[in-house]
Amino acid sequence: MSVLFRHGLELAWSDGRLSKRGAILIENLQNILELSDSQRSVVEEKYHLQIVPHLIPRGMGSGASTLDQWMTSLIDLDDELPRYLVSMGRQSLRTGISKQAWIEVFAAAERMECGFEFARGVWEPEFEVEILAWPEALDPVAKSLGLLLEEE
Amino acid sequence: MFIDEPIEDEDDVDPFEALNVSTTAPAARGASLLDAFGEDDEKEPLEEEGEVIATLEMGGMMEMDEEIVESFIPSDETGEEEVEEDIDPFEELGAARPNVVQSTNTNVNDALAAFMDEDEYQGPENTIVFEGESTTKEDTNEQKKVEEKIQVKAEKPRAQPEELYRFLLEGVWVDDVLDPAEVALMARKRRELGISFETHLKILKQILHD
Repeated sequence: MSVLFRHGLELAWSDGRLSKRGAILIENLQNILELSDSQRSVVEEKYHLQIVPHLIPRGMGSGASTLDQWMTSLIDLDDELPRYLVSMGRQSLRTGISKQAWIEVFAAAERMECGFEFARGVWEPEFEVEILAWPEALDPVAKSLGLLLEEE
Repeated sequence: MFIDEPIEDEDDVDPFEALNVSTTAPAARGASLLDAFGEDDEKEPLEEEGEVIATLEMGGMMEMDEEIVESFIPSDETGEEEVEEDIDPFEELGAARPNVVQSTNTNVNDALAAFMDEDEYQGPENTIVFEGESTTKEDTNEQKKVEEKIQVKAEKPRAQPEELYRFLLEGVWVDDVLDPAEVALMARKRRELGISFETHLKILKQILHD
């Protein structure tokens, strides 16, 4: 869950400032991911303490637009999302999946109601999986699984 | 008859014969002696071989003279060394012989008892029940207890499949990285233990959130 929510925060703060629109979109994301206030606060506080102080302000909170686009594309995946998550689970297993990555991505997949599919991709070797190139909207998931380097 | 007149009788006496000395030349005598030795060497071994073979064929070895037996069989095999073997090496070294024979010494018995597993031996000591002789009440009670214990042990449930699976799943995360071989192993274990994928996810969540 924190994987996707944290990515939303990164996008909203991408120019070093958080706009009002960006803050509203963060609220929406919390609802989409069905995060409780306490769950949200754990992620957001950590981000405010560790990342925000080091950001160099250079904009007027334009990150809100980027966040909006990303949320739209994530919602648009809809029926395709389980297929991608199964595929990403299988691909991550080839390189080895860490305990932390499993915990994070499985939680995120559960929030998107695809936890079972993602788990099958990882834990059921006899289950036939089609290897797909994941959409950009799932990059934060791919990063957590080690499928995408941070720089990419 | 005159003194100078030769006496016939005296002339007939051979002085060599009288002195028992051979008249043949020493060289000729030596040659004949060598011939005699040569004949002996050729004949005697053949005769001896024949005798030995004959005695062996007849099983006559046992009937051989002691002197012959000694000459054929080395003294090592005749049992002379048995006497040497009987010598106690501990005695020879002046050391005390270890007490291998069952000892009545209580200290020795205690040391042995310390090595014995108390759980394994549950029966009463030195209980010999003869025919027609009934066992006491205490004995029967003790026997019942032992039987109950055995029954409880037999009835003790084996590890639940889920517990076993949880144990294996915990082991998978020991190195913090999950790889395809571990996943394949866990899939096989699920089949063997009859664990569904949903149960697997439930156990996995419990492990990770503990």
